[in-house]
Amino acid sequence: MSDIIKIKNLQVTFPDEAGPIYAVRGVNLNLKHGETLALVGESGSGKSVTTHALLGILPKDAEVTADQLQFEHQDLQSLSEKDLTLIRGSQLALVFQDPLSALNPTMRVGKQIGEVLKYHEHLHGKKLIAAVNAEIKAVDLDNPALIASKFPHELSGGQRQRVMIAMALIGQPKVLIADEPTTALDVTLQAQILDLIQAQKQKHDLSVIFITHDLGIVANIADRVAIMYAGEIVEVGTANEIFYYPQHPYTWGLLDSVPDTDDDQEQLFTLPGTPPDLHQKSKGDPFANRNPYALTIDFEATPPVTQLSATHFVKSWLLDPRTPAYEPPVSIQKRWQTYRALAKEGTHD
Amino acid sequence: MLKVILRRLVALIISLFLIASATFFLLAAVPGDALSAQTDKLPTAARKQVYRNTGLDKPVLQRYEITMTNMLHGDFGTSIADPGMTMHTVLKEKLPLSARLGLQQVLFGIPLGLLLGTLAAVYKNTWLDRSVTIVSLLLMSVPSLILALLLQSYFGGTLGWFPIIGWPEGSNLWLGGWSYTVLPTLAGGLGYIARYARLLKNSMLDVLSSDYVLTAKTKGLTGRRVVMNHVVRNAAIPIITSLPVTVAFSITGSVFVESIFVIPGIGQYFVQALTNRDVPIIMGETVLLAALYIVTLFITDLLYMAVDPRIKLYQN
Repeated sequence: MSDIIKIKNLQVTFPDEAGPIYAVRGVNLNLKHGETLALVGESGSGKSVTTHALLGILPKDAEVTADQLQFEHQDLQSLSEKDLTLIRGSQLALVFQDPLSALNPTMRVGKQIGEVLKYHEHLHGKKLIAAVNAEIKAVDLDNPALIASKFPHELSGGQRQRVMIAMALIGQPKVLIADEPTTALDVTLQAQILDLIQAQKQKHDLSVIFITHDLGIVANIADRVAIMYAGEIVEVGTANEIFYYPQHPYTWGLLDSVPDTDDDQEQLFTLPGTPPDLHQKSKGDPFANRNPYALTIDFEATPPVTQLSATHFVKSWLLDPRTPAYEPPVSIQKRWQTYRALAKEGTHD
Repeated sequence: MLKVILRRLVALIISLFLIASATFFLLAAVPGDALSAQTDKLPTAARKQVYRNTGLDKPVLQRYEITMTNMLHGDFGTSIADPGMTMHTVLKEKLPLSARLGLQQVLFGIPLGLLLGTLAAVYKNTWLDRSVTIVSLLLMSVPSLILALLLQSYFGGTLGWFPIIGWPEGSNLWLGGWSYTVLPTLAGGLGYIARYARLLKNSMLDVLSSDYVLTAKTKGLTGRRVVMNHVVRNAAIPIITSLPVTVAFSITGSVFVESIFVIPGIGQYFVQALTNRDVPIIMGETVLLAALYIVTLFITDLLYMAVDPRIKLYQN
């Protein structure tokens, strides 16, 4: 499968009164055609900033550099603002976390959905209305004409998120970036919205970047998972590799903090400490001070990236050959056993 | 909708009744009245006669009854201190002067304020933004009274560019005597510049940093279309809704500016009536201003509803 998006060494810096904030620090990421890539990390880890940099919608004072920022065959960095507006909405679309604040409160939702077609394909009048209504129907909302005539505050949370998705998909983009699309919704609606995104993905041959802080909802939808911490990608691999053969202690922490209904554990695991201050360019591994497995070297030098398979990369000193033997938490060891058993089954086939 | 208007009308009448009563009794409680200064040196019999002529000799409650009954018929009575003047003549002779002053202040101040506010928001964190912010803060903290005196002494006195006092009347009432109007217009208008520049800048920054503006960008709208379709209307909401009160109260006269520049407008006349304890005029002006304020607030509510669909005055 070819890469539809390629990001190499992306750096984003925001000016701030207390000095520059290094929000994204050398992110390498690729999105394969037709896959769902989950971008997972805590708040402030740089997930959204990475995708906003890709679309070129960061505030003007943000400083963005990258060795490569490619969509299909176009170098996004070399495009003018005008050419970028042609790509946004029609090729790359975004769904936001909170549809109530992401929709204009004083404009009817039908008009908001239609704007994409109005300006990209110059549709007007009845054709535009028909296209908008068809798209509203496509995201499983009944009575599209009525929905289109409503203002955002007149719709329910689930309806609003469907409207957001309709707005993102009406331009028939190739890539959908879903930025925590279910965080503002209750659990039953979350499942519905995830199903909807999956269904639309298959129907329209979309490639999806799914941003979330919740590994739990990623399990069923992601082909690959990238774990972000403090503006860096610390581990990336297929969903299997991340869930059953995780190597980075931060990934372990994230996996252990997902509630597990099969387990009788009384208390949920929480990662100690808080993410580092992004004003500082850290020496060594930014995760070191929260990492029970940290080595002396973690505080001194940036960890190398180790490749474990064609798809699995880990940025940690733990995988250095000189690292003394260590034992991951029991819960993670169990996962590794499952992974090895699956791998064995695979070799028997 | 009709029900809302009716309800507001009832509220208006009750409010006016309460305001008029409060004003009446407060004035009655204050020692001295409109005649005490003039009649101080008259013999007792003559003084009693003067009081009897104006009806001020009657007990408070009886006067209250008469005043309220007359007011119900639209009659506020004749001025005691300034014989011959009624509310009708006040509105006819004094209001136009104040209205021209107010309109000039508003027409000068608000557009400039909106322009500066927009520029400050668009060029955020530049020297332009900073100077607009500092100057408007300064203008807002200095009362129009001080500003008027400063303008008067510098441009009228030191430089001698404009007349120090006076206001066009007669044939120049609306168009003419412009040089007299410059300083009073500045004295009030500079405050409007400051207020509206700050108001619009803040509301534009709010809207520009909102998620839905980001959404509009991700849809591939050009910068100009984002502003036209998504920023203008939302940023205008606080402006549109504060306009009615500003306009209504600029027209009904500003006490300080009129007093300092000796403009015989309604504001100055009100102050004069207050110092004279001229009950009919005070009652008339108070009730009219209160009515104007209540009606203006209702218009503001209607405007809110028209520009912001989230706001409803009534349930369907």
